[in-house]
Amino acid sequence: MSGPEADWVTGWVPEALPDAVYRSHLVEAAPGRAIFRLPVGRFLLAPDAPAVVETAAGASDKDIACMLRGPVGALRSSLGGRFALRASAVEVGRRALVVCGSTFGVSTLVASLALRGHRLLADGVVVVSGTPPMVSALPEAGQPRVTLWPDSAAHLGLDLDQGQVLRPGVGSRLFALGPGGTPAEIGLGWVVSLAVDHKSEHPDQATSHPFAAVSQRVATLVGHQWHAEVVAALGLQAEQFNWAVTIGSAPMFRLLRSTGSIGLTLPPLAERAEELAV
Amino acid sequence: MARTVWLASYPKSGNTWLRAVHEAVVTGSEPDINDLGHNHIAAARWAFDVNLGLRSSDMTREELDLLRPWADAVLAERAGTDIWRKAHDAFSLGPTGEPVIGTSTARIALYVVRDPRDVAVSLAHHAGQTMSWAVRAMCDPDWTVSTGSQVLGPQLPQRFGTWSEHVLSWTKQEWLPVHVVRYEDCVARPVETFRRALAAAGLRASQEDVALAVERCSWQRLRRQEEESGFRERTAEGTYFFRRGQVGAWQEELPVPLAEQLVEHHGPVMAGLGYLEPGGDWSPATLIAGA
Repeated sequence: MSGPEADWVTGWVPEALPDAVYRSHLVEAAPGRAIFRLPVGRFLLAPDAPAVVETAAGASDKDIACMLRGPVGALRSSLGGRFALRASAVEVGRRALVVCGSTFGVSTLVASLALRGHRLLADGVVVVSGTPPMVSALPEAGQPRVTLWPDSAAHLGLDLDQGQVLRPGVGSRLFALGPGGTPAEIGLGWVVSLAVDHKSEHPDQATSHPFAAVSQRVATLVGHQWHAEVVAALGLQAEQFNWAVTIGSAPMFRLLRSTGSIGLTLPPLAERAEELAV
Repeated sequence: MARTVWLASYPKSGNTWLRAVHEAVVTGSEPDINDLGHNHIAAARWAFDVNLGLRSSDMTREELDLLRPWADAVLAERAGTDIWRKAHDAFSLGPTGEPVIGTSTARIALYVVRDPRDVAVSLAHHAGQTMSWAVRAMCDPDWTVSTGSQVLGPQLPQRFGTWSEHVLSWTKQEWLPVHVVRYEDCVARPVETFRRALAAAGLRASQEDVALAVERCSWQRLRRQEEESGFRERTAEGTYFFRRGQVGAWQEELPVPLAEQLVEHHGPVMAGLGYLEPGGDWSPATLIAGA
């Protein structure tokens, strides 16, 4: 049986990989294949084959698809040498503006940009590959949609009922926002790292700073890479480093938001992000 | 191998003060209150996501409770030295009967406890709520924060439960050793109390070093830092995280009926901790007997 939204089949998945070079509580990886153990099921992954999923009792197709659009898909992509960032992206002037961050608000900011007329490219997992670097969504992601929680949807003026339930038991919804059109691989334009300014007392202001040193850019990008440790254990450190350096050649900024409500911060954040993407 | 030292407490019980003193001892300087040891609170969403390579926002509450100890284990395994992490959760078991707080790589829990009447006053100011709200929360067995059905916050769901339940959940559990630190003893005998707590967690420090750390973490100094630089853990506008810190402030600020309500709900545990008589003493035995 194939999954309704993603490229997967149900089947038996081994508990472990005998030749694994990386083992953690959740992941075992050997060159070219990996097992991802999650509460919704066990996934056997290879770069160019459908994921094999042994679903857990009670897990739904939505549960499986959700994981494949996120961390599981990111790992499968990495096994094939196409590394991915924990980030979201929109198209600005035919180039990709990638937003990552160690704070919540990334998806909300990207949704805000989509509502301002920028085409949504990806949410949660952004694949960056090639030289010059090109940006795309995971193939499993299908039509680009952004995941929003009810409070963010309200801040953006969206009707929660218009969103699709992500998976049972989770409050967030999926929204297709902004201009439509077939998602394509497009050139990387800018990288923005969203962070919180704890000293800011002005919730209606956003500030930005360029990353001065390449080493700082590389460290930040690897810090936002999905499954960086697995990639390193598979002997792909050189590729990983080159990948980060290539992305780091694009303009990169730290965008600071206040600790206040994301609703107050959103308009200046979106405006500042647009100003950076010139 | 590096281990986790859990600094556990009900909210507003002195946890941050202990973290600051630990940081001052380790670094030999006045700690930056916004950068206490770089280690995440037990329920930090970002720590969960990064250490497991997952998106906590896509997980159900049950899945989070199941996976959190794995994230704690990964964080400890990756650390070069012991990591000291704050926890406000009650000690509880997840869907498979394993603790939600990671114990497999934990060294000890330092459990900080404070007179619940002072906690109520501090909690009300911290949350920007009324004293009645604080007392009601502290008597609610289901009190849970960051439940996240409508809002995605920086922390994962944490169940506190009642004040008594919280105290007993940590002090009676048998998954890891626990050393109880009374806030009132930290105020009355700071050097001795902090030094014993640090030693219990395997950190030997001289009396002079601890005395210097205590001086560097005086309430006035921490408050001044907050005034000058803000504090990321402050939640309510118009108040300070390091607000007063005084033992017995409840006698001036907490209405008598609310104080009585707390004694009615938590009397046995308060008695076991020596909180029902002026200058009352306690021991692990009296705590267990009181409960």
